Amino acid sequence: MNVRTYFLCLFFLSISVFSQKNTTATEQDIARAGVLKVQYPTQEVIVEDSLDDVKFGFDSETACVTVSEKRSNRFLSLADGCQFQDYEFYDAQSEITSFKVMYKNYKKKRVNVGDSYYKDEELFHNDVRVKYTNLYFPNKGYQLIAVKEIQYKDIKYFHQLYFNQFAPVSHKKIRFEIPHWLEVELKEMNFENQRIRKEIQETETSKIYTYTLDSISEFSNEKNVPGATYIYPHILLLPKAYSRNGVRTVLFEELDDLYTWYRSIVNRMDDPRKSYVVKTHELIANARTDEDKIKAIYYWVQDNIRYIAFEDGIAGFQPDEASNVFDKKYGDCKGMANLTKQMLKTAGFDARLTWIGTNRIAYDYSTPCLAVDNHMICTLVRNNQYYYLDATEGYNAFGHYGERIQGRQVLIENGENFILERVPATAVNKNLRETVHQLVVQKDDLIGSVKKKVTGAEKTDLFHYAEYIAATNRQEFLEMYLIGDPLVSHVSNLQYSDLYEKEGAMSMTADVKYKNKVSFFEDTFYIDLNIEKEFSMLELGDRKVPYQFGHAYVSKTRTELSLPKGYVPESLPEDISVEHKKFSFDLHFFQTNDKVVYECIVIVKEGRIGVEDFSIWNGAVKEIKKKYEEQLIVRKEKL
Amino acid sequence: MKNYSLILIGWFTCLMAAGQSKYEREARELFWGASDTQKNNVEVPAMWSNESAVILYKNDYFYFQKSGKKVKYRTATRRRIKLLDKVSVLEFSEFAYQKEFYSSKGSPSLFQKKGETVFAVKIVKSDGKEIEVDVKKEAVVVDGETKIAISNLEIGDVIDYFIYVVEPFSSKDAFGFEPVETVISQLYPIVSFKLSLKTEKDFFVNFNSLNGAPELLPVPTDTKGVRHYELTADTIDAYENKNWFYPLIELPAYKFQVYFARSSKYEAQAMAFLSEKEEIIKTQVSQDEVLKFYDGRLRPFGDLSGLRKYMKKKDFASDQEKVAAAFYFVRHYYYTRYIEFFYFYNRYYYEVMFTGKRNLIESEKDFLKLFTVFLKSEDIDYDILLAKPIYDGTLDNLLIERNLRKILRVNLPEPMYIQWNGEHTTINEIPTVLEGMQNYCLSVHNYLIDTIKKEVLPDSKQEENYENKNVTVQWSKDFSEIRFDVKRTYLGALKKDFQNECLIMSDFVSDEYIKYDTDTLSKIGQYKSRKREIDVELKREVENLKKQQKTYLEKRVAYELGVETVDGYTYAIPKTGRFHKDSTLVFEESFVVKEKFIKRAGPNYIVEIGCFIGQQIDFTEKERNRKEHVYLTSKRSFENTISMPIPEGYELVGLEKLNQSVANDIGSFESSFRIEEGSLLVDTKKIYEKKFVPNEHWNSMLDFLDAATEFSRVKIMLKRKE
Repeated sequence: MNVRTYFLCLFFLSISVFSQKNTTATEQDIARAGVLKVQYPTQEVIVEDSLDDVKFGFDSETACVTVSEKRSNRFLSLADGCQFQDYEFYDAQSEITSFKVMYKNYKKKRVNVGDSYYKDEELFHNDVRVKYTNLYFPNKGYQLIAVKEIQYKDIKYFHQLYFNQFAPVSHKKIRFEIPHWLEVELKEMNFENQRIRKEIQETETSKIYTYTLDSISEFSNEKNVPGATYIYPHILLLPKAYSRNGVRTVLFEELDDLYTWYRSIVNRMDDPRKSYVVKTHELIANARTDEDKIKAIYYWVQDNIRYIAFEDGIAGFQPDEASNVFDKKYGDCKGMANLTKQMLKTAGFDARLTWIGTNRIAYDYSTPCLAVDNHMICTLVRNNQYYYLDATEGYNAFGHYGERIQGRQVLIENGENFILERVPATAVNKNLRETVHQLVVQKDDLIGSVKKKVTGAEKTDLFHYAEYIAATNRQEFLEMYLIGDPLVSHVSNLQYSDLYEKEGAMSMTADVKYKNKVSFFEDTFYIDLNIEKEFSMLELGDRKVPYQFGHAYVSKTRTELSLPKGYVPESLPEDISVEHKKFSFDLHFFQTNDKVVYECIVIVKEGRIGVEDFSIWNGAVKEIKKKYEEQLIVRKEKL
Repeated sequence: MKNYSLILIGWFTCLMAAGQSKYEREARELFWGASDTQKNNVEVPAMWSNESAVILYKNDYFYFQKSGKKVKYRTATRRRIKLLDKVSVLEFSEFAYQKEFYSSKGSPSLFQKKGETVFAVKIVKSDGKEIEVDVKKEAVVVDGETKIAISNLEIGDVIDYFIYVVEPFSSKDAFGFEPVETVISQLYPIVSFKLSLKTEKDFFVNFNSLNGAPELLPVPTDTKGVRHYELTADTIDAYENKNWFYPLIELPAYKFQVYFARSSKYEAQAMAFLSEKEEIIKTQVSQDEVLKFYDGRLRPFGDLSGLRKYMKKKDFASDQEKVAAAFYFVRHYYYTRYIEFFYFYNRYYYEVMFTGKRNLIESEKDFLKLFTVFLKSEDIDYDILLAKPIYDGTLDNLLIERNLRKILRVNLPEPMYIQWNGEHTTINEIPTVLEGMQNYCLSVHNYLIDTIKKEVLPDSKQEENYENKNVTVQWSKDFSEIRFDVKRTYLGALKKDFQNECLIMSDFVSDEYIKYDTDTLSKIGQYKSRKREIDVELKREVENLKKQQKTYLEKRVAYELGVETVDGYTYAIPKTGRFHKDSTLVFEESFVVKEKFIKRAGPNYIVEIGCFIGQQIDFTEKERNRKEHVYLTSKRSFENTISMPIPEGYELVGLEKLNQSVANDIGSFESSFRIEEGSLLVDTKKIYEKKFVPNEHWNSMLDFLDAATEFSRVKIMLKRKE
């Protein structure tokens, strides 16, 4: 090797060494990580800096406004030897054109980027995929930068950007560079109580909006959380219109525009076969009234069409032809709504497709965009009234509505126009669970009978659980539903009304034995009358996000205890009553002749307990738990 | 003109055929062809009309075919099922499979062909109309997986489908297919079942029907070189999983294994008891065959330089002591010191595969061959014992070689039994599934295994398998919290259970490095340059493992006490009991439980003192009417001593309930109390005297178990003193 070559090799070697050296954590990095660890004690990796840079373009071939998003995250490890998986979803309407990882000195780091199909548990098939890479941080203070570039083929499918991520973020910037030819509204959602700074700059060609927020916690992984659009600050992008070559093209400027687009999708349907017609006539042949006909059709769709959803590309928006759904005996919400509509129309009723956002979504139709709805039902128009038929709710009676659509705005097709209405909310007492016990003391146990009645959402919940229980195990399942753990309670002679009967209440009766509810010391009985102990496990602790119940409901329990002969209550536990705008608890003891009666009424008035209500809620639960532990003391009557 | 017609006809035929692969046509002909006897089978016996579904017909199919060293392995299952409720309709609404794949069997080859899965399904409606689902049209394929949602499926329909898998691979050497050991019954009752087995030359079949299952019978076939056998059964009730039950020794079942061996050279290589000729189905294995098989296969072999270096200049009071010292060193040097490697297997794959795993014991056989080198060099006599675990049945129905577990018995005045099962292997701890089982004893003379006889393995007593728990509880002043300090001592099978479930590498590996003065991973040769990185990763791994261990132990004790969570949980494992059978494992834990186990009763309190021994097993009505025998894992005992200081200002009422005693031949539960130095002390002991309880004694077992459950519900009163 000659001298020149030797020194060249030495030179390149030193660059490499130098580059490697500039990737390791410095003392300052480690110190900074130490400080951040105090702020985020349970975290190993945080995002120290994050930038979402959004630009817009135009694809002349497809005549669509496109969106380019560049997301850069600088990760910092707070401990030695951590791993973190960074990932990005995409679908048929988007593409990840670049997924790079760099060291802190911006030198490229070689990583494996995987690409997998994303299986959504609620869908049979969708077009969502995910690109991901596993990042390794050998020591505390180590940094890596991940940069992803995502292309959206059509602005309609680009909905919102959140500040939160799946790791805490120290400093986040979201930047929109909106060209003057594009009219877009950036709607600021859940910005209250957040210190989000906003800057607007104007250039010759565009307007630049920059939002900045610091110290952002990660997305919660708690259970029973409302939809993200309710609780996390984000920017909802509403594309209004664009102008090219002097021509202004409207996107979703008004709700009309959204409806027109939906209608254009729906109008692509062509169903000459109408294979459902014969069945429709068969179903209504013996129906005496219009209501009977409607129910016959609606219930048939609920009972016979399986929910199997293909959400692949345009299938995510276009309903399947009614004949397809009928022939396959499966469909998603759009297909089932369409079949319901067509069958009702065949029977001579005015039925319409209807778009709706469930209670997972905080938006309504005042912000017209594709993010505003996620569900489709059928609306029956009759006698100037609207009846909402959601065949995916397998057990809802006609005129009853699932919790997730109650109170929600609906967009009902009406030819070239639309009708905007709202699904009525059900009174909370329609979702009732009522239990009556009649018990006597037998040694250490309470024995007697129980009657339970469930209505509304309480009933449909039970039916949904039972749906997955094989016929041979159904009795066991209902026994457990009635009395809880079969090892501490015993039930016999269970009788119940029709399982899956949509109309009316479902009721059960049985003989019961509740073991170990009675203690006897020195001529005195100590009796635990609180059989169900509702909410005793539901203290919300240090949770930071609201708690979402499945639905509002009323639970009533009445226990009548026949006193042992010659025994009287020493005293009755004091009543307690907690009243709040969102919930109430009432426990009440009283005596009638030779019985002590215990009544407990719990009402969850709204489906959601906000963080601001946690302290009252937790206080109420503590109080009620204490009350549940109190024993009824029954001593021998003094003669 | 005629010629052109023929050409056209041929062309159309090819076009039609091109729509289906060769294997599709094959599968259709096999299951739905002219010989299909099931095509009109739709009726469900009345006794099963309340079931969720009834399998009208199930056919499991195996066909072993070869050409030279190329094997074509076909497996299939066909089911014809009547769907009687929504649950079963939903269950059979979706299917997923890999249409094409590469087999991982045999030897890798550049020219390996892909395997193929054929799936076809038809529905018979309640009016008798038969509709075949167009799988090609309706399926979606994502990342190589084919999924299909079945159209037009309703309650009352019959779904008839088959999944036919063709798996080509090459194997130069002898190749054993995965054994099939299964009961005939399924989750749903079966009207008619058929097992079909077809083999060609060079495939050796071991097959046995068990517990009254029908025999496998030959079926005449026209195809030259193909042997065809079938097992058929009718009216099979559904099988429900049960506690304390071994289905393979109780229910009608069958086992088989097929081995591919092209010539006598490869037959000799096979790790299986092969029949003399492939035309003969082997149904049992004789004692002589076992002897002949193992001679030569378990000869001492291995590099023991590490052990020799360790044993040099060490004195031992007896051969017993010497063998024990050697064994525990071998356990460390040839196994546990590689445990850290296992955590970095993916990251350091090539190093671990080609350098790090030198002299790693990977099986019972490896251990036997290696350790007997030492015994031979020390002129210490030994036998090799072969036994089947209890859930696999007795030696009389031995069929599959790998079901035989190997135990080394060192023949010293006090025999030493060593059954290799990983990092916690301890001398004289025989796995409970082997205890008391009949075994073959192979004796070795001059390197030859030359005699065989039957014996019975020792069985442990209940006092050798115990958990001894000391629980000290302390109430807070307002009785809202109770602090638990628990010390558990384990021995025998219960010690082994705890070691396997709860110990992590940091509980024992570091101590062994110190004990044996060996190097940790980051100090070994090629890893030195990455020492810091490896140390960081190891430290990290240990931290993660400790977090997982703590979470697991917390949940374990919370479950035991029947509470949702415990607070302030701390623990220590001061003794792991890994170096002697009689050495106990000690585990200590402390935690607080809030607002549990006590209820206010006016000025007094009711304490659920029985709960402190932990939840006891209880049974539903259905379980109490058990009809099957009971198989427990071991004879064992559980002792508790609860110590509760009596709070100042209170006296105890209701203590008489703490005295209980129920005892019979199957087991016992006893409890008593005493007051000592201001504390209430409660002692309980539950003993399982038997491992096997015949069904006629089930009620005796219930008696003492119910007594324990009753005790766990006992309450006493803290009565305020006047």
